[in-house]
Amino acid sequence: MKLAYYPGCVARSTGREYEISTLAVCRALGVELEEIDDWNCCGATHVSNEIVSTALAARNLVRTDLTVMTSCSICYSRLRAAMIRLKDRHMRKRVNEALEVKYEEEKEVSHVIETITKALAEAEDPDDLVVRPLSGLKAAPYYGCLLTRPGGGIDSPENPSILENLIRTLGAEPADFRLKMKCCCGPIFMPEEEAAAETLIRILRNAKESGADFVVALCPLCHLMLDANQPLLEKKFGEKIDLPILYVTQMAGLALGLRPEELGLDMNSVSTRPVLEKLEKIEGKEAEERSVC
Amino acid sequence: MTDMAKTEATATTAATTIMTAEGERFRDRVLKLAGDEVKKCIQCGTCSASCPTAHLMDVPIRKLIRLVLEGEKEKALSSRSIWLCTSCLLCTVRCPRNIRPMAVVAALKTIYEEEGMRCRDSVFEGIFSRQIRDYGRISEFLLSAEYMIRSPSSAAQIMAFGAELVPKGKIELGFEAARGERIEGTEEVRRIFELLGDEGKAEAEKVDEAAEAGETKKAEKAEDTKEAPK
Repeated sequence: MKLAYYPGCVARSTGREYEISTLAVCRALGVELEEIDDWNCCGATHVSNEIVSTALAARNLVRTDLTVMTSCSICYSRLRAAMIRLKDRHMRKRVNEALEVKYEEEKEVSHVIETITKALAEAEDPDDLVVRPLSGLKAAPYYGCLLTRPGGGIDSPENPSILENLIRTLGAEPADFRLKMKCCCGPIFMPEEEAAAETLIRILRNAKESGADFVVALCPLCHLMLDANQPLLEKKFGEKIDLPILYVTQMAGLALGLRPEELGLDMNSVSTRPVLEKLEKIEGKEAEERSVC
Repeated sequence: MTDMAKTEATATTAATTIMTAEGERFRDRVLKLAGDEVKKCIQCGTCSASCPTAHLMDVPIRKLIRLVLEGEKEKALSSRSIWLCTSCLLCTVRCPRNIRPMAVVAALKTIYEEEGMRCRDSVFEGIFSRQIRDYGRISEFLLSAEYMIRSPSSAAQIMAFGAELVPKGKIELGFEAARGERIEGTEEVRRIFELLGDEGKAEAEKVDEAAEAGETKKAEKAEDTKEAPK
């Protein structure tokens, strides 16, 4: 499989471990990535003028003939929304007035979770790839908003299951996480911190109560809100959460047998050590049981 | 627009007194930006009930749409609600009339900016857009630094976040980082903003001039409505 890679701005800053683990996992799955030449920001949720945001997305899409893959749910949603807008003849005409390479034919975009799911499904024997099953670990699947929206994409925008399915394929158990679709409020965090904090602490408490060893994030903004922000929330609300937040690619990478340093697991704010230690302990116990038999 | 939609749009706005010319222009501008289908709103409230920040809003999203259709420009633009939208799109996937309420909010933000209005949230959006326009990409260091200068009350929050992220090597400090990463195609990106974004501003000015001159712009408006993306 060969895909065009759209990193998005966050991959080069606060979401660095997401990019590191995305590249490592794709390598391990035999997925070849070709970074889009001279890509630009998708505008995220902050360019309100729809014609401008559509044109920003289109400039990225026209730079390749391959299916475009991104690991950021915001970029993914922006690219998809633009493609829907660009079906309109008038919109396409206006956008093309500003573009050097014109948007003529429809493109395909995919999120890294699709890439991983597809590569595992297409493998002759997925067990050859999942060399270190995450059995004994419980993961809280956190979707956030934009992976499945606008609708009509990879999964239900109301109650998706693609992440739970992947968690199972990797040998772990998905937690019953009631707030899995609750918006992290990341887009309004900068100017509206108070509003976002109340929601974030509810999401974290709910994930903790689900008995999960860690939360799985699919979006670098959700991750930033739940991980780097977690110590600040703990201080604000005067309670201990201590819940590791892994990117989907970090979780998949572990199951594919990649080393923690190849997945940037030391770059997360909340220590991911407890997850690794529990996994090692379970593996130790299993090995012991095997040798007794 | 179908006759049915027309009848419904009339029904929605029937309760109000006669719309001012400015109110009518405002309503048409929103419809042009967010789609003519906004007129089909039946005020069912599915959008408000789905909104993750509804409890914080002074005007729920359902009512915001009514204000738009009634041409209540000042009330709609002064609402804090437009800055509390997280762009989660839940309203949009659920709307039984296939309206995109989030696009209405985005249209209101666009008009807010076109009108030269300012608040801390619009300042943040402005910095964000300008950075894309100048560099093609966002540097979180530059974004935070500029926002902190323009909105000093945010300093404590940004510094606390920085203390988490800088030691992890996720935010680079120093001259290189401050200069931002400039893509090759900045000219093209600038053109996207100027040709497509500033068009709205020019149009708004044009309409204002026309209003001052006392001209009726019925013909042009009809044309605008026809061109609105579906």
